[in-house]
Amino acid sequence: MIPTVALNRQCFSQLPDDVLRLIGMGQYTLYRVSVSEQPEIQYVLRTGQQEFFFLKEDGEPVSLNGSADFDIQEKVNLEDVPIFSVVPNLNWF
Amino acid sequence: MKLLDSDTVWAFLSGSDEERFLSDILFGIKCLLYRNLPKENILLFIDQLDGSNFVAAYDFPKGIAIYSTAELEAKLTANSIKKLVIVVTGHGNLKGISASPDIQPYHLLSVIRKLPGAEAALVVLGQCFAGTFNFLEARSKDADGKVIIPEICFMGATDLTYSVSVPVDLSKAPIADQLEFPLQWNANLFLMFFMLQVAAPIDFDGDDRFSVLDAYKASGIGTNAELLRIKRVAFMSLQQSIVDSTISQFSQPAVAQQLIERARQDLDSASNTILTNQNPWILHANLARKLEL
Repeated sequence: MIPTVALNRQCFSQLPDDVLRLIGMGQYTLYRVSVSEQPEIQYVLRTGQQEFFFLKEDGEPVSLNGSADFDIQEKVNLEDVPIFSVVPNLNWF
Repeated sequence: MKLLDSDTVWAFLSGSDEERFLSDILFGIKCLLYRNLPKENILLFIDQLDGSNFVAAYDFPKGIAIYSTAELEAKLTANSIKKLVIVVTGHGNLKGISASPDIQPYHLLSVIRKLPGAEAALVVLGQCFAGTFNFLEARSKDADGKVIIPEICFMGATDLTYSVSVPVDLSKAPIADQLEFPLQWNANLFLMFFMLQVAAPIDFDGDDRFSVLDAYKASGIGTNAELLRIKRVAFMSLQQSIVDSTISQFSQPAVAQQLIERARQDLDSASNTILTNQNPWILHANLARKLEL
């Protein structure tokens, strides 16, 4: 399993609301990463099958499908971004 | 015919290593391990984004091999499989399963048919447009009444339309604490319900057996029941999202604009959830009745 860390949306002041919403929906995934060649990059935002963005610490996107190697540290859950639906009770048991 | 004994290999397949698909697969693995299927009987076929390490970050259980989808035929053939279950997540398209290369229905059928020693196979298709695999020639008897081996059952999460993944929370499920899995993720609904049936099967039709047919009915009903429930919530949420995002000063405005436009398109596409109905289907129900969980 991938380690996760819970952060709030204020940590990502430069990410548009639409993006935060899509992260909350589970369509986009935000990872905290380390990039040895580009220490200003703190996060990778996976937006699609063939697409990801490098982000700075405040969420500012700086490159698309960057070629630098990165190590994924954690998956970021946004604790104050509401997801648009939840299956609350599964009564199949 | 049992599908959770040491004679059965379960293969999970995804042409994408996006978070939701990796989580679908991890959940499936946990359900199988909960039922004591040996790890060696689980194979993963996942196409990974070039140069990335998304799959490695998810720390799949040791002892479970991960291959690319292009290796499916070679690895299945090499494993002397008696009974096979393939669970497909990821994306689908008009030609079949989105992968590198795409997997067309007759190719997959051919791969299974050629497996030496195979007696039965079940294919559970969770991707969009799973109905592209419907109406294959999966009959178990030839014109002379002779049983064709292996018998194959295909099951689709949806017909010629989208299948959806939505955020789910299984933390209140009675077996949740035993699955050792983050129980909130953006799940392919049909596959989630199917794997729940694998983990904790219920005899819905009263024949005193936990059959694949039970799992099919539970998965289809569960998917549509949840879809109906989330549509109202999704509609309200999407209405609220139709506001202009405020744009700050960016050091890379072109990149930022790409992300903003992409997000807007993806939010628009999310309305598919409101409009989608999933019609599951099954091909060769007689075999599904014989296959037990």
